[in-house]
Amino acid sequence: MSLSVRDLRVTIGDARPVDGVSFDLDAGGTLCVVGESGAGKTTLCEALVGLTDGEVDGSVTLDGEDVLETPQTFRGTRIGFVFQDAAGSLNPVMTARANVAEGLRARGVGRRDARERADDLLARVGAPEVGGAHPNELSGGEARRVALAAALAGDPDYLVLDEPTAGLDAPTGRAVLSLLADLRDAGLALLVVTHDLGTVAALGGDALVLYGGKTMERAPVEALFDDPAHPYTRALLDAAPGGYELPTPIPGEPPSPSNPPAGCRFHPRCPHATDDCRMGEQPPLYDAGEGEASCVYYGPGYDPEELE
Amino acid sequence: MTLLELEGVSKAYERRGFLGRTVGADPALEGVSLSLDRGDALAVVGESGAGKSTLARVAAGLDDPTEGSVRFDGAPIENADRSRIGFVFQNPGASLDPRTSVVDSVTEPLRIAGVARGPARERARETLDGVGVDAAAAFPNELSGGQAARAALARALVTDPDLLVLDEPTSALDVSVQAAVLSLLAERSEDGTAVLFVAHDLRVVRSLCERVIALYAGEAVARGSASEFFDDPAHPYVRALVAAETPPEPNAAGGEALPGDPESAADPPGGCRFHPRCPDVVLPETYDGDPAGFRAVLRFRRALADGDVRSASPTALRERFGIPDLDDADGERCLRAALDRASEANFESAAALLGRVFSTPCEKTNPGLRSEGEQEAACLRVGDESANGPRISR
Repeated sequence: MSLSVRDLRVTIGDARPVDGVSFDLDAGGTLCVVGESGAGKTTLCEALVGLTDGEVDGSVTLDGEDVLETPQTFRGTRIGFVFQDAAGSLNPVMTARANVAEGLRARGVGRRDARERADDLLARVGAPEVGGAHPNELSGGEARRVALAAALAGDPDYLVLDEPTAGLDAPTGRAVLSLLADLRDAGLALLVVTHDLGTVAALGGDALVLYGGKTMERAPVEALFDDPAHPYTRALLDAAPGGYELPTPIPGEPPSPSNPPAGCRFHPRCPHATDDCRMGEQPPLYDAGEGEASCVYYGPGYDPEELE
Repeated sequence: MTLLELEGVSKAYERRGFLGRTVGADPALEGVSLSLDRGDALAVVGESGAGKSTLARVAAGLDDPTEGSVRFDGAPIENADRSRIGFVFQNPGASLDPRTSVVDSVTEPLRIAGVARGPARERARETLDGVGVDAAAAFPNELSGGQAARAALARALVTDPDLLVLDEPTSALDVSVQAAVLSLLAERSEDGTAVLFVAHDLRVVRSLCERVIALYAGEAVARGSASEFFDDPAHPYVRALVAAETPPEPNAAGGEALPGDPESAADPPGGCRFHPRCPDVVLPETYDGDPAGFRAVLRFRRALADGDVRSASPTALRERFGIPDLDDADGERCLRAALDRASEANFESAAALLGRVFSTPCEKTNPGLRSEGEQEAACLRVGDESANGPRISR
């Protein structure tokens, strides 16, 4: 079983926030999509579950079935989705239990069964006590758990999570991450979109580095941290706080999705950019160590050693 | 010379009832003291609801403390020249007026301080330039999140304040902008500006601040130099906070998740406020079973007292609170009786019953801050080690 995304493009007006992204996510696997604000992370999530206003091209298949044709038949059943604003995605006039049960009711589950299942799901995500609470009474971590329970109501095989730890303090974020790891151990595949490299490191699996709607690098998480190939990945790692040293900011601003630069989208901010980086299209994904990088230095005629 | 001095500061917010009548008070901060010199960078850390933002507001003179004193440069803070204190709000974009251009927003604090229009606008432009915002005529809605954050910072920096109070200035930013803002702050701090930095993300604090103070349920439970604080924390709460960090390294040793929910300053437990969740809680001499089981029962007891338990079968309650079979005979007997009462929704009597066997010295006395090396920690295991056994290190 696998979720297969090929050359996914999302066009909104004259902007193309996601511009040709491909990946496979196997059942029970983890893919972390990482990038700065404006890289197209949220649009990518929304396109996968059919919630974007934009025009979606390319193909998304789940075990050979076309997802893009009728995303609503997959969303909430085989592909669960948790919004970045978890609290805002819950209906404020209904209790947490009713919020979770709603999806079950819509699928024809009887009232009493739906309530019972909702309580089971809340217990599964570690929030059994909040069933009777309304969303405004929930803490950030609890709201995240309730939204997760609602996403699990359709018994999905794949879960798409937009910034699951954003806005949570470290202990709460850590608890949500360990809950996600438990769900994955139970066989759920995770697609996690985040700007937090700590989240990526904690979840593991595969990583995809997104920049200006394009894939910069794809690699197993450990390889990405130990031996980042693309200059953008390196810059991102250097910018992540963690040690006693001040992190190094990346100069400049991310590109505008309506007017991206030619060539490699990262070239205006890249310390290693050559003339070849400034022309034509984004380079293809070349083999780079354990993963692939969209950088001319890994292509013919260049030596990646020069990046050191 | 001390620039900012807080002594025994408490703050309670009024609770409003019908027609805005005051019906009570919700304490948010309890007896916090700190001092800040020029060029100092002090971090305030803790979980959500610990009182961090309240402390920032009181320290900047935006809110009056209910008790205690706040002195700025030797005088009560209400007499302070406002232009000497810069404040950056948690939501940086929201501190810019959407109806005025960014330059005008940044000019405003100078105009209030009495600077003439021309030079004020000049200074505002320079400051915006310095933080990397190239948006002279732009309005806030035209700025990206990162640009808005920098513009808000420029507004706080434009008067060249002696004290900068920052409430989670980087939590809404992604790594690259975060790194840029941190570098800016580090520069200011080196130039002699005092920085009070509120953050829940310890990773951000570490590179900027030499000293840290940790709040829990409105109280200061630990403070000290950043290096000791992070590398060898004396207080179990700080150890748990540091262990809960998610460093940007794969396979980093993830600490045990901190069990239970944070306590609220409005209804705190007795003694050390952290004791129901503490992995190092001091056991009574009469208990000789497994410490983990004792701690799980303590959390159960606290939840009972807090009204957070729904009645369920004893087995379900055990599972819910992760209580194993206790190998202490008296303890197990007491626990079973209490579980029976809880399953009959008799929560108060269940809690009272548990209190007879499952009580700890930590709930009886609030130890206050005690010194150890370069840090202070409000913990019975710190300082006088003979009484309660040495602290258990990581």
